Amino acid sequence: MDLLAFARGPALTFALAVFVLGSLWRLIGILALPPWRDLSPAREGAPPDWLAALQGIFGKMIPHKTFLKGGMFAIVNGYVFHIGLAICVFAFAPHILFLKSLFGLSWPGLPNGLVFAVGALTAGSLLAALAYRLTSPVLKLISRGDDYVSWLLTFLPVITGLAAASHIGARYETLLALHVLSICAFLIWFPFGKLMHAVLFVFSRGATGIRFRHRGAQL
Amino acid sequence: MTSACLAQQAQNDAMVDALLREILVGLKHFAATGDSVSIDLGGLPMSGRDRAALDVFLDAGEVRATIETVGRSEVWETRFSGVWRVRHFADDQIAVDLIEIAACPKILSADQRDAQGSARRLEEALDEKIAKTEISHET
Amino acid sequence: MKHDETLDALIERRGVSRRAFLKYASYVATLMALPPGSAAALAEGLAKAKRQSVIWLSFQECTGCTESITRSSSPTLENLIFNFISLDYHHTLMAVSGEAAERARVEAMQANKGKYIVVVDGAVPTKDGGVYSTIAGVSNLQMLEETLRDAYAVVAVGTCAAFGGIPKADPNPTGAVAISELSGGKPLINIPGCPPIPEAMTGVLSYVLSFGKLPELDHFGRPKAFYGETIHDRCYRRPFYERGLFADGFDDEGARQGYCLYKLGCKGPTTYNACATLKWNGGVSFPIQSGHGCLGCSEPDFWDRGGFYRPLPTPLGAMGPALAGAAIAGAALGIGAAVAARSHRNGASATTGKDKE
Repeated sequence: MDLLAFARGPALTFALAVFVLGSLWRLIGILALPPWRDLSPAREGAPPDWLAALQGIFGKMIPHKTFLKGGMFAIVNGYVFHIGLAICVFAFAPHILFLKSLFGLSWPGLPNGLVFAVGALTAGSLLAALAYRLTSPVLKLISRGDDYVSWLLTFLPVITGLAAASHIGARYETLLALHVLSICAFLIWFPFGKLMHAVLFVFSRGATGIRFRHRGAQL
Repeated sequence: MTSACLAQQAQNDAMVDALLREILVGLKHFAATGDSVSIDLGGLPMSGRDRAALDVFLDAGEVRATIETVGRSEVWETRFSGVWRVRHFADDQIAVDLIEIAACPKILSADQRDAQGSARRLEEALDEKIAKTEISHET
Repeated sequence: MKHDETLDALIERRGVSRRAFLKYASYVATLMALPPGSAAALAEGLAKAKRQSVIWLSFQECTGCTESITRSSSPTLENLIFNFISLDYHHTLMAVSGEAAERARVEAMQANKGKYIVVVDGAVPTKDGGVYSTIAGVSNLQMLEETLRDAYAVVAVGTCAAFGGIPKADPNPTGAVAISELSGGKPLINIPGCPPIPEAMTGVLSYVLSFGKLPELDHFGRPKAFYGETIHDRCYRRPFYERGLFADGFDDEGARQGYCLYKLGCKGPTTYNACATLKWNGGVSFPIQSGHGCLGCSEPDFWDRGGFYRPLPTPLGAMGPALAGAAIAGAALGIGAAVAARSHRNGASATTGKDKE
């Protein structure tokens, strides 16, 4: 078995299994906790819970102007690589084929050149995020190993993907295998580190929205 | 013509233009030093249209020859003296397509060692001819 | 069967001029993308070379490789190689000669000790003492060992000889192995393909004949001149791949438009061969041009890579059971964790309750 067959076969199966197991473990572990009940009456004009949750999820996507001033770079850069990652993962034809093989759903992709450009921008943005984390005193102080591991495991698939698409560094099949293996590492780490925020942010922001609005706070 | 067609056309011309520039460099080199240069079109990513465009531009000059050995070959000088086309065919398909910048493509000139062999054969043929004539005179 | 005559003497005797060498050399130089001007050196090398003794052994194979080389399209240029080599033994072509053929093999080995080239097509079964393929009562294993002993080099022609191919495909009932595992350190060239492109076979033999050395090889022992680039890199449908235009079926609009066959399982991106440039049958077409994706036949284990129609980026193997198992286990763990948290909380509140009392 060569490296690519290993990556596409046993490695990917194992990684996806760990991903599913870990994500469900964490998600169900949280959602099956006893519901939080606020016995106090809701403030006057407080929206229903579902609306409060949506306001929490989407309202927080645009930061309050107090935070805009000092954190502009982190906010814009954060948007750049998150949207960049989404485009690379969901709009590149080979990735769509991969997702189709898992979920049976398919959609049209974007031209490779465009996705490649977005990928390069994303890689640059991720590097900038790391540089910011290392140079900002506050951010550096609150960063733990998890943050750096999560950053690295996000960066590796991007950089190996770019290398594979442009045939730089090694033969294509080797680069493709490394790309798949880097995704395996990402999937294995995902449920156990901060990468899980990709799923949990919906619930945490929703819960925050409900609690805040219940007490009459504006979002 | 759509913009896509025009873009395609420009791309085609780019290939041929690059090749022509390479020919020009080779030709200048040959004109200055007498060293011949050979360009193999087989290794270049040329479409049929590229090849046709090149044929039209280089056109044909004063010399044209056909070689019949292990299949057919065509050799002709382009309208630029010193720039030759050498094309070997296999089954009527182009097997080798060369641009040779030289006084004369090597494949056209006779090899000295072949000449040694043919001198021997000529001598034998001449002897045979003379012998035949003598026999016919005697009878 | 000793070959003392130089090739130019042989050519001259046949009434052909040295132009034939130059022409053939240009052809090989074009095929192998040799640097400009090397055609002349190649021609000189060929002229001075002696006729090369070649012994062709056929083991676990389908004869497709022999068909490919003997039916190369041009009766003149490409087949000139058959004037330059002396095919002293070819198992398949000489099978009807029986004992006489086997004698010819032994004689050629003795007369050209250390100089003959062994061409092998087919894998070699090694299980149970190699009984699964024998010729004239001799096992393939034994015959290969015996023939290789005094050989100059060995050329493994076709994917079966180069990588084990179909005989070695899972579950490999005969214990088939590639020639590289049995060549015992002899110089080896792999020319895989199912079958290999005839020009690759003739080109490599001509190169060895002219320059007296092996051409540059990749990590799989394949000549880089023919296996240096992927099918995908030189495919005329590549622009469609880049623009994201694909055929989704063999009879849909995309297929009619000649779009990229990547989604239909084309293995072009990971397959190193010259099909896209040299093509087949004298340059007529190649699989992708004929509307079918590349099978990846010049790569090791191409038969066992999860199916010809499975797109390259999809996972290999059935992962359904593993994922279902993981989902059940994950859900159980999650519920377990929540129950533990609840009981912990209840316990905690019970304790606080007690304290209050």
